[in-house]
Amino acid sequence: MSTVSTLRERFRSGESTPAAEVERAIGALRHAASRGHATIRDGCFERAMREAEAATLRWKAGCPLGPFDGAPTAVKDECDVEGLPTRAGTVYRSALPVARDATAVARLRAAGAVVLGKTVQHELGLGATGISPHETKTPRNPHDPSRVPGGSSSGSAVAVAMGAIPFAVASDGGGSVRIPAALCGVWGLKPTWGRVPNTGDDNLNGTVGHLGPIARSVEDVAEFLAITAGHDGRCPVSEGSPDPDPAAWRRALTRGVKGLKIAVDDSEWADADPTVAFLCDEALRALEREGATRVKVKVPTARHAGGIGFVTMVAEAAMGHAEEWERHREVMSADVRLALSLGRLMSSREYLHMQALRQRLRREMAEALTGAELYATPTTAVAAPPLRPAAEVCGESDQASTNALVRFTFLGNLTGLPAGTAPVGRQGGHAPVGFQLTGRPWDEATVLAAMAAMERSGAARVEQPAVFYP
Amino acid sequence: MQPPPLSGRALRAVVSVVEGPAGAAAYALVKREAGIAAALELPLEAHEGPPPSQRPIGPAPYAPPSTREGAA
Repeated sequence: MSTVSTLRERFRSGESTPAAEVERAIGALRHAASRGHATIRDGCFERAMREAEAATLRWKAGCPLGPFDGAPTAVKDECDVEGLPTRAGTVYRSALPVARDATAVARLRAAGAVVLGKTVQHELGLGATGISPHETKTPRNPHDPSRVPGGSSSGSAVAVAMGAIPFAVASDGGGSVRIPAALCGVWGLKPTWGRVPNTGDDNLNGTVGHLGPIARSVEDVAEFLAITAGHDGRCPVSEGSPDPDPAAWRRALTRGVKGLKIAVDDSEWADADPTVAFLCDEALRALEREGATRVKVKVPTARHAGGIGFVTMVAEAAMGHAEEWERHREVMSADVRLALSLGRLMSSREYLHMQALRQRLRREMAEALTGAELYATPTTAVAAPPLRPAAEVCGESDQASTNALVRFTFLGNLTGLPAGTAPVGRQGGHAPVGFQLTGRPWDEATVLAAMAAMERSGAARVEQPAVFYP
Repeated sequence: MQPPPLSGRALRAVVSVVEGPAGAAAYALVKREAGIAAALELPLEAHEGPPPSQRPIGPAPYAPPSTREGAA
């Protein structure tokens, strides 16, 4: 699958049509599912084909709805899509369809995107591996099917990485956009807290969850942001957010990085696997060659972001899912049940202590970003861990892997700062590595500018995985 | 030394312990493994104690750039 921007050119020239591309995408998703790479839990393929036919007519008439008209996409299970159930990766939530799209989905549809279905995810978003023992099982990492895809937005990342769709809707409470995007070798962005309304994703009811895109190009990431950003009159999280500036995000794609300062805390990088750190350093050097400057900073509390984030997210999830835990814990994945059970044991003192540290973390990051526009780390400390067959029985609890996967991502959730991941190479030729850039509040433009510069220079690129649908 | 991954019967057994009378003891082990204990050991400065009735908890929305005085 091409990017949306290349699809748009093909639709405009008549080389292809939305109907042909959506049919191809459905075929790819079905074929992949038959070979153990299921990424769609609930599909709406007939409706998608009808919408694609309508988009085809609009393109032929020269009046597309918007920049995504006719582009196939899919939506993380926990995010509402009208006509499909919202089960958030569980087996116990209602299979009845919901009546209304989430705000982000409605805005994407208004821009012409064609939703094919809901993607498989780590149950309730409470896991970084993407392991799902339910129904569809775990979507295999398309670069190496013996490895996990990353989570929690596993199906969204795999569907994009294997080329079935150009972009997908994902969400991120501790790294759930960036981790699977990094492990599957594609682009991802967690916008500033409140930039994209959470309306219609009830799983994001705490203080760390954000909606964001996983995509095959930086331009599509920017366009997703342009379409979905802005308060919707209903979402308390996005209330008071500044007006979206799509023109600035589009301009950022060509502005380059000359003069930019990129902050690095070497002690943070020391915790990454050496190969991961090497590939990320190469990407940073590429940005320096384009005119950026590396500056040294210290963010001492960052090394505790995992512990702070674990308590914050799990305690909030235990509260948010308390009734579900009471009624359905016997059918939950055992790792998710364990997390929620642990959350019930956390004390108010522990939670409040972590919120105080979180404010400290925000101050430290504000200081680091005073003398620099961006803060760079690897996205994850390791490449994709192995997917063990035993994990698919009832889930897996692997604290060491989880610590390594969220090592650098929780920072963005705890501070609310925008953070993007760039695919900067593959460990051993088959395990993608992500490079994370975190920006100042509301400054997604600079994150996009640096990501686009890496894409343009080839320092970061989406590589073809072993399982691929061109 | 990192704990091994848990799945199948072993994972279910841990769930059972956490949900049982020994839950607090099991949580204490997780606190160490997940970096929670280390974070809890960080002393708070006097100004960092969050009186929750007076200060918002969580990432309060950042002010728009035009009115922002400080990044955080």
